[in-house]
Amino acid sequence: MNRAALNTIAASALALVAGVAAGSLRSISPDRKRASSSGKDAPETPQTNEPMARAMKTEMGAKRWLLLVSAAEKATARDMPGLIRAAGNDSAAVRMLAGHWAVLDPKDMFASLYAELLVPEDSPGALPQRWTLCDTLFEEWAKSDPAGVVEALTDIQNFSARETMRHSVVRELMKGDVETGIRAMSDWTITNYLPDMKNVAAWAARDPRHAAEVAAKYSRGYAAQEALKHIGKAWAASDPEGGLRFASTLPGPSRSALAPEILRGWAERDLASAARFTAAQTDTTFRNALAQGLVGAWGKKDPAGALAWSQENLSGTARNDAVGGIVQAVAEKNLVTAGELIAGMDAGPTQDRAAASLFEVWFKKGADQRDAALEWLAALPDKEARRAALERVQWDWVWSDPAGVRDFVTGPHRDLASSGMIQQVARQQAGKNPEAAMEWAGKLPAERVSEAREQILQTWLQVRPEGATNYARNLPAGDDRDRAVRTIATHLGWGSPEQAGAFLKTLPDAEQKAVMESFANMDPKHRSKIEAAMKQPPAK
Amino acid sequence: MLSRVLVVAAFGAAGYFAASAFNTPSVAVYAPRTADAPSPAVELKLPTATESAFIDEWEQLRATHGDDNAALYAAIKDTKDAFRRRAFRSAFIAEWSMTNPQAALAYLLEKDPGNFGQLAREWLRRDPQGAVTGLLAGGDKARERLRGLLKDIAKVAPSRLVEVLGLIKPPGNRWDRSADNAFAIFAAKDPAAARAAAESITGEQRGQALAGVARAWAEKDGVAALAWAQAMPAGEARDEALRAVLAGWAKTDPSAALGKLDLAPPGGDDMQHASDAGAQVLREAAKKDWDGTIAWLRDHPGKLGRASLDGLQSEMSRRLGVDTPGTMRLFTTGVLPGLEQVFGNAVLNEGYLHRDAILNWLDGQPPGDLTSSLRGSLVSAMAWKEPEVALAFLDKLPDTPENAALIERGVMSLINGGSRMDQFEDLLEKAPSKLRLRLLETGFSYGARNVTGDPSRWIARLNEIPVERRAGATSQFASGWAGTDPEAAVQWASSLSDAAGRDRALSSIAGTWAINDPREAARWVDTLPAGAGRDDASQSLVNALAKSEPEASWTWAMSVQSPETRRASLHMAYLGLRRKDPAIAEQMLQSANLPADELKTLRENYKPGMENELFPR
Repeated sequence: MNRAALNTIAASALALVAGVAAGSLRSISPDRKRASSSGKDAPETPQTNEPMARAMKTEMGAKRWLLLVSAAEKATARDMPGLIRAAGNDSAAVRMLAGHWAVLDPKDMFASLYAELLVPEDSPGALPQRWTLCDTLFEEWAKSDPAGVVEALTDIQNFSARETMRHSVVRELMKGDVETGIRAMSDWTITNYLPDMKNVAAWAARDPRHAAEVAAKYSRGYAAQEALKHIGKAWAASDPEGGLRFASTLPGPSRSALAPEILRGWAERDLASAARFTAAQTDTTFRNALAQGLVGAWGKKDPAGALAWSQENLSGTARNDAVGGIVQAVAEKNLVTAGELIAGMDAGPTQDRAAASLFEVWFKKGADQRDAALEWLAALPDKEARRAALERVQWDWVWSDPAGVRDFVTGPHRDLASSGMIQQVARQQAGKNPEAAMEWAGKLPAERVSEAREQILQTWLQVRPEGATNYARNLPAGDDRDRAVRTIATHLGWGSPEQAGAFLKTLPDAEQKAVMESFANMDPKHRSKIEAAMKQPPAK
Repeated sequence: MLSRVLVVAAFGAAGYFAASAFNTPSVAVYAPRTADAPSPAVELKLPTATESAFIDEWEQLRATHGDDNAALYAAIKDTKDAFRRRAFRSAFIAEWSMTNPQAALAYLLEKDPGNFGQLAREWLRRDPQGAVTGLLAGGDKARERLRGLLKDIAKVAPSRLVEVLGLIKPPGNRWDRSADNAFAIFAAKDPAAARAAAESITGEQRGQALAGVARAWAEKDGVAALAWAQAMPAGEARDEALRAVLAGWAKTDPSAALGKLDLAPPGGDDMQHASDAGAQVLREAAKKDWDGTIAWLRDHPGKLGRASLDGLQSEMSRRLGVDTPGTMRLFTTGVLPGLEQVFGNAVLNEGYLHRDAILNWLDGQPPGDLTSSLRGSLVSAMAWKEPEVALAFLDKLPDTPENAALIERGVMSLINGGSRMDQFEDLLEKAPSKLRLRLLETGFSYGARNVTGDPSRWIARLNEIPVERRAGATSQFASGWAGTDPEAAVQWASSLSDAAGRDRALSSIAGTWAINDPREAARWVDTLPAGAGRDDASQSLVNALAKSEPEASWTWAMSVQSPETRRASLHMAYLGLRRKDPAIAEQMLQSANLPADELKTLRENYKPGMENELFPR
């Protein structure tokens, strides 16, 4: 063979390879090209099944759905994005098609959704309802191949939606494969998400020890602690003593989650044995943990007995917690009986805690009960007890009924309001309209005005420093102005020496001097930046 | 030559078509077409039962159950295959919505309320007015679900929105913006009609409806929308509408909206991140014109505060990926104070995706306060999101003074100020030797309350703490243990051989115990022999009681022997008394028979208002 022939053969072979490559590329659908793009590249024009899109808009009744279904019936995974685009924002249709795609080829769907999530939701041709698609994929995939979906979400590089996707996978895993779900939560460091735990008990009932070992080993965050509580309930039904022996070997947080639940379940069935077991424990920490479960169950049947046992066998926080729990259980059934229990206690933190429990239950019975609950609270002799009790409902109350709290802090029981509550309301008022909030604060009881105004000013500075500084500059000389100037200077001083300097130089010399003196302990570098800014000529 | 070229070309073509043939996707019943090649409007035909197994199955289902809709629905619900179940259910609900929607509504509300929305949407598609009337007549169960359909109603029957809003309950939570969104949809189609409708609402949904109109209208005509909002009577509804105008306007004309910020009160929800008007406008403005928005901020220093700047977070996160150096340079110029905090929030969220690019950029910068601060934010995010990655990263950092602070911050972030102590054991197990001690000390300082589930484990760990810092760790641990088991903590602390460490531990136990149970704590302190240990414990008791039981606190303060401890204790108790009642405080002071110098010091150390700063009401 001569050289020319060899060259022709070599060139032909290269052309064949190049041709195969070109042909392969041609046949990859635009959606897959989106999937392989980096997100910075311009996405390919995606396909939409146009006739179907028209039918989805114009057809009515069953036909509209049957057209879609019969198209999906014959479709491959690669055809699914086109059909989904045709379905548009019809969430039921998208969900139906997504479920089918997830069964056809979950990995293909995952790759496509990953590519989708790298581009903005409103990009031209983006798949509609991307989160419905993700949720449906994980729902199906977690059922059909739990290990596969975990592997995919483990191997995928970090990107903005990964955390949300992992939560979604965990939620689905916990419905069918609890153990894989718990392991995934640990492997993915999920600590601030609580999936539905209702299948944990059934899983644990099959082998509670194994379940507890898994949950304790992969114990990260709140969810694992919750899982242990459910396992405890299941274990209590079969072998509470065995469960408690195992619990006693666990580290603190896991033990505190598991043991009380086992004990609680046991006490509900056999109070005497559960109480004997608890009293026999020599490790006080363990006994205290068990006691919470014991008195929780006991208090429902015989609150006086549970109370007496707690007073005799527990101390410190453990006693306060136990008594608080008993009173809460009683109060939920009968407020008067709960009140009588509290009246019979010695004054002190245990009684305070019990009073707080009663108040909380009463207050949460509904808006029509609040005045009566507050009336009762106001009659408690100890101020600290009143404060602690109100603190139990404060956040929820401010959250759910801001107007009610605003009225409360100026109403007949205003003396009950803590500093924290006044400050919260002040921040809320400032958020709406700082000038109006300053007026509102002026109507508070005299001793509350300063702290409310301070909060308003702080909130104001967080959003509109210029408005806050103008307000302070226009105040007449006096305590209010001094406080406001100090607050602003400190706020700006730490955040932006330049702005602090610009503000200070608009003040009279005496005020400037007083503020700079109050910065005596400031980092000298920072302080000199403020001084330099004060010397700058005013901006034009 | 030409023949050779042709041979090569032929091989190339063969390869191309061979590969295409192998890879050509199977064609669906209705072949997809590209968006830029519009197809003629042909009506799709349903396949026959012979052509489609689904159609065959559907027809069999229909034939089996005839007109018994309930039985058919129940049969569909029992279908095992999820795709078939969803498909047949949707088809059937759509059909039922045409034949007898009222019956379908009654059935679903009773038997399967989860699919109420689907029926309602099918009904609204076919007969918007009839559907709204029918749904409103469906009783409380139907009405309570209508809030979820407001957007659908806005699309097909906007003129009924006011009526619907008047008949359904107000939203149960403050995040619900369904009325706002519905009116925005209405206004996008017909601003005048939407405005008139929103203005006719009198209930608590009025503000949301006006805001929805304002936002959508401002996207099209900011000037007119602003004039309309400004003409409203002063009040919360007007403020809300003004904010909505600016946020909507910023989507199309950022600089105009930014320039009008002073016209709207800041607004914002204390419990919702970056929700004030400034943040909302910045969010939209930055998305539309990042450079222009940054320039505006630079030209208006002090106009917006740090909380408002968080409106930049989402766009900053995106830009950290698109143009890492350009975005990072914004910080080094220092022209926008407060931007570092936005960076911190961005990397805790979506910006974290660009961690490596940011670190690379930071590595190329000269060291300084700013790069340290930015690196610290990134390490905190790493510790929160990927603790094991953070451990590895911190381990590799060379031991330099600058890195010491970074490592300190990273280790603190790993357990997030004590709130992630449940991960402590795991982290400690994985911590490289270089970080173990720091992690342990952080555990003692932050997690004292949480470490006491297993005291023996922590007692053993005290030996790992360097001697010069061990007393501090011991005291923190003792305080934490006292929270759950003060007697056991006392027993252990009393057995410590180092006198100073023992006294410090007992003192901190007294403080915790006194907060939880002052009587028991006082009883115990009373059993201690006179000396420094008792004085320290008494002082803790004084501090713990000063606010809640100032008289008892004063009595304990008087019992302290060591002059310095006694002076500090009396001062604290005196402040507690003054907070309760200045007259009582004066009386107690007079009757205490204190030496003249002690009395003088007490009076001199007191500054008016001090008690309220120390013990806020």
